[in-house]
Order: sequence, then C-alpha cells, then structure tokens
Amino acid sequence: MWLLPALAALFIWGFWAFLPKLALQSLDPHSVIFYESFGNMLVALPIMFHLKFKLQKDRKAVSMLAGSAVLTVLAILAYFYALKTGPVAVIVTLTALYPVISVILARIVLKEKLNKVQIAAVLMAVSAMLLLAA
Amino acid sequence: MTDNQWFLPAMMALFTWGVTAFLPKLVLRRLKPLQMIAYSSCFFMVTAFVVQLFYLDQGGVQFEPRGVALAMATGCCGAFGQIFYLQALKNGSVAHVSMISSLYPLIATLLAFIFLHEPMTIRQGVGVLLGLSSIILLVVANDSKK
Repeated sequence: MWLLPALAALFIWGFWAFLPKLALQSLDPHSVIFYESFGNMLVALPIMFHLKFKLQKDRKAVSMLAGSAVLTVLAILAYFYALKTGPVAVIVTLTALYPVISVILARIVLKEKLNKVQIAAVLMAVSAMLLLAA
Repeated sequence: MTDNQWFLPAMMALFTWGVTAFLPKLVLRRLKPLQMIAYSSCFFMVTAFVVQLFYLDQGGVQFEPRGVALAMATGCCGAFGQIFYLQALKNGSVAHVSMISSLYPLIATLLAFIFLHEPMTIRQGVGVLLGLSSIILLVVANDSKK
C-alpha cells in the first residue's frame, strides 16, 4: 500500500512549499527558517524517543548529513527570499526542477551519458526556466 | 526581467538543491530512514541557529505569532512529507512514488490560487506546465534506466 502515503507526501509537500509565502508576510526569511527548524524538530522528537535516542554512529554518513543540512538551509533561505517577492506557482515549479541540475552534473562530472528522455527533460526544463524568467 | 528580483535567489535554491539531491541517497545506504530524519532535523536546527548570527545587526529573530505558527507548520510539513515519502518507498517503486510526490508544485499552485488569488501570465502558465512535464520526464527517464 504505497499510493496513500505517496499522495500524503504530495499534499503535505504542497503545503510545505506554500505556507512560507504566508509566514513571509510578517517575518523575514531568516526568522521563518529559525521557526521552521522548531516545527521540524517537533516531528523529529517523537522519532528520537522511538529510537530511544540511540543514533547510529557512522561518521561518513553523519558528515554527509551535516554538509547536506548546511546546503539545504542555504537553499531554503534563497527560496524564501525568492518567495517573499515572487509568485508561488512560478518559484515552486522553478525550484522543483532541481533534479535537472543533478542530471547535468552527472553528465559533466561523472561523464554519464544521457538517454533521449533525459535530454528531452533537460531541454524542457531549460525552456521552462527561460519562460518563467521572462 | 525588470521586476524579477525573485529569479536570482530562486536559481540559487535550484542549483543548491540540485547539488544536494543525491546526498540522502548515499546516506540511506548507511543509515536507516528514521535515523536520517533524526540527524537531519538536528543539523537543520543547528544550521538555522548559526544563520541567525549573520542577522544580529538586523535585530535578530523577529516574533509575530501568526508568522511563527505558519513557519513552524512549514517545518512540520517538511518532516511529515519526508516520513510519508519514505513510508511509500517501503512498498512502492521509487519511480512511481517520486512521480506522484514530485508533483507538489501543483498543490502549491492550487493553494496560491485559492488563498492568494495569484495572477499568472500565459507565458508563466506555459512555463509551469513545461516544468511539470520535465519533472515527469525525469522520473520516467530514471525508471527506464533500471
């Protein structure tokens, strides 16, 4: 039974993308991210209780998560700055195109070959970016 | 691009997320999903606190009850979304689950239309449709690789 949780993720992430627009009406981006971290922790705390606060000690994985968290916070901060002045639909769609960046990076850095569908997706994404930017 | 002050930060978010997108996949090879969520939330909070140091000259963290509640709800949604996504992955294929969950801009667009009555030009509408089609194609491309 995967459909229900997948649909739940879809709806909840839709709210995740939209709600900051309302929060940014009265708070600056850095304040929104500060309180967002508390909301995040509200959900994580029961998980930590469930885990009895016994976290796996894998230095490499933990380092990757720490680096990822720093970049994620910076990305969300940039997203909030965009959302404060721009239209939700355009910004959410534009930033949701990030898998294209991964595909392009894989092509440049890892020399991975792109199949026809990926090439079409990248071309469509670039066209979308140009249209949304105009 | 006269009034597009939002474009540069949006592109910065796009590129940064693009760079970090593959990291959780690597981490999930070494940590269990709930462990990853616990660690991520801790690091997220620490980083969000450190960010505030750079805004001390602007008065630090602001407080306004409605904004605080909405920001905290955003954090809850982010974490719950991740939990449901991982739950869906337990029984469903990555391709199908990603396909459905990656369409979240549609929900955000709908919410913006309902609650903010956001106007959209035809050009932007076409751009949003092209962007969503591109996301679907990427998921399909990923599926056809397996």
